[in-house]
Amino acid sequence: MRDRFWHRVSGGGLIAVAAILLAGCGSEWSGGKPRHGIITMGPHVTETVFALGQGHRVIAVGSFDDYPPEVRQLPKVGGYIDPDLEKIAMLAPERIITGGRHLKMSQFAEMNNLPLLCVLMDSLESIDDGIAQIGLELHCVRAADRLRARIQREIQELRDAVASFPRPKVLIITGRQAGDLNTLNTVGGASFLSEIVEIAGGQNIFQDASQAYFEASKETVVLRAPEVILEFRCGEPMTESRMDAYFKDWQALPMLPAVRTGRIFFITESHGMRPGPRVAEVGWIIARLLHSDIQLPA
Amino acid sequence: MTTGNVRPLGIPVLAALCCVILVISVFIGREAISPAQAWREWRAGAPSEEAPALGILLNQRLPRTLAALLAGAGLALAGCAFQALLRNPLATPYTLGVASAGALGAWSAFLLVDMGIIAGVLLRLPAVQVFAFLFAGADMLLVYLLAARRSRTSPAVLLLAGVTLGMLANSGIMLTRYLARPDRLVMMDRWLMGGVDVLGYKPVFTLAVGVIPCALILLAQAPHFDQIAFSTDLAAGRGVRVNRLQAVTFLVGSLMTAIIVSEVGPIGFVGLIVPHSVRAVTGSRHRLLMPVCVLAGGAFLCCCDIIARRAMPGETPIGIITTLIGGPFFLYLLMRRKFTDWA
Repeated sequence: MRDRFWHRVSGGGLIAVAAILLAGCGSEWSGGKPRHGIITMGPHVTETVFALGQGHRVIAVGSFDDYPPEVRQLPKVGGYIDPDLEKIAMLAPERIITGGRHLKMSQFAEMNNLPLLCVLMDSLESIDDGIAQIGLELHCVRAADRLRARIQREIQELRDAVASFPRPKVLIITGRQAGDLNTLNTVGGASFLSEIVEIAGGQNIFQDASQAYFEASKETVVLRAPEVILEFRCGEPMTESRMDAYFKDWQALPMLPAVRTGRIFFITESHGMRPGPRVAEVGWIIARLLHSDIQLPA
Repeated sequence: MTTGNVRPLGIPVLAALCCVILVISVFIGREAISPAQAWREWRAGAPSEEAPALGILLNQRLPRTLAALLAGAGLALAGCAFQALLRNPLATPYTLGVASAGALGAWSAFLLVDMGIIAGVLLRLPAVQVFAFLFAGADMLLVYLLAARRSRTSPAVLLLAGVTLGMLANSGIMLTRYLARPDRLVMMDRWLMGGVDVLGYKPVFTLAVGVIPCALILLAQAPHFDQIAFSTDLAAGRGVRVNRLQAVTFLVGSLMTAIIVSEVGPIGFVGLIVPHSVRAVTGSRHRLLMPVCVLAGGAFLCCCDIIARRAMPGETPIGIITTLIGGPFFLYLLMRRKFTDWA
């Protein structure tokens, strides 16, 4: 009787140990499922895949991916700093596409023999290249060519529409603490946002800066006298009172022409700083702010 | 304990040097501003929008110079007082967790503002600043309550409680960092690097109101620090009210640090290297050491700020400069001089 009891206990123990070992291998175990579908990580990458008509193949996306709306229903597999490798392994995708290089994902893909495409899209040129790369990877080169042509056409339309307008000097703010102007993060000519502002008919006051992203000196801001301030607060819940408070912060620099004329604008659209297929749309948003009487596209 | 090497002339000389640095600081910046142009604008009485040179000198360079002077002076003095209080050469104004708690407050504010739970401005101050001060103040009170449970406040308990609360705050920072949107991390990280590039005189006023009274209270305790530097029992035997001295030093030093951290962020190294560097010159008598620390701390941070303005195309966070300049200089001092005081 006692022997049977101990047999059962040891048998149960063995099963438990096997289960623990199996669970311990979680990150490399795909449950024998055939690999299918794509995981995209990065809002601009996910948008691009959907814009190429390949959305039906996407089985999971990054935590911050939110467009097109159907993306919100898909499983989330973490972000750039915290990819959920176990979940990715369980989903057993046929390939992964990420925005930018990612050491952890590269190691994971190598270990699991998974095709991984890292796409760097941080300028108009690299957006074009990135779309072409994704098209090649997903075997939809024609759709990629059409999308690239569409973006180029939209950008050209924007250039034509603003060509006859004067080009105001623009201070681009990508981040600052609410309540004061102590830290003003801005962009130089090498950045994607500067390109968009130039296309939308403005001149970045830091166009000559060699760094793409840096903290502006307020002395330089005063001397370069921006006529318009564009503050990117993408995805931030913006109420009237909050916008008033942000607007009021700028009164600390009353000598700026933009402050005197009240031409301080907040871009709250979540894709405002997203280098993806909607880049021309962002350009039009900026163009409307810079030139109020611009002719909108049909 | 070294008591010699006292140079009473040091204070006027250093005060004069501070004034020189202050003047230099106003005339060196990212942009070349001609004093003659500023003078012409002043004489013309032009409104601020038509007087950019004068505006930059008066509303940007002078306030940031004063902010650097006050913050540097306060941090150096607090470091000196904490080293005496805890009888530990590694003590800094941040040893008792004030900076970590302040940073947790600032990061929580970033997160809550982003989520739309609180407004960006509270009590007419940036929410980040308000939260940083509240969290730093809460850390200070908690450490004190924990240490004051005994009949005599023990420096060791203060130190352990402060370090533990600091570690707890650091894990809170990691959690807020983990929960934050990636694009916001830049701003949050930037806060940790400190900065005195303030605009206008409101931050200077806050710093002055916080630092000057606290500094005067700490300076008034200088003779007692000389006594407890030998032994707390000996100091008590000579009539020093040790418990009161410890409580006042801790609370006033921490309050001053909390105000500085909430205004300019946790600028590292000043509270460690300035007292030690000054001690190497003046000796360990706090009556001389502490006032010289005030002047040297202010001058040091002003110099670092001048470099921060010119080092890179934009603004360079001053915390990077204080460590880059202060670290090697401190190592040089360590190699050149004998720090027998703490041996």
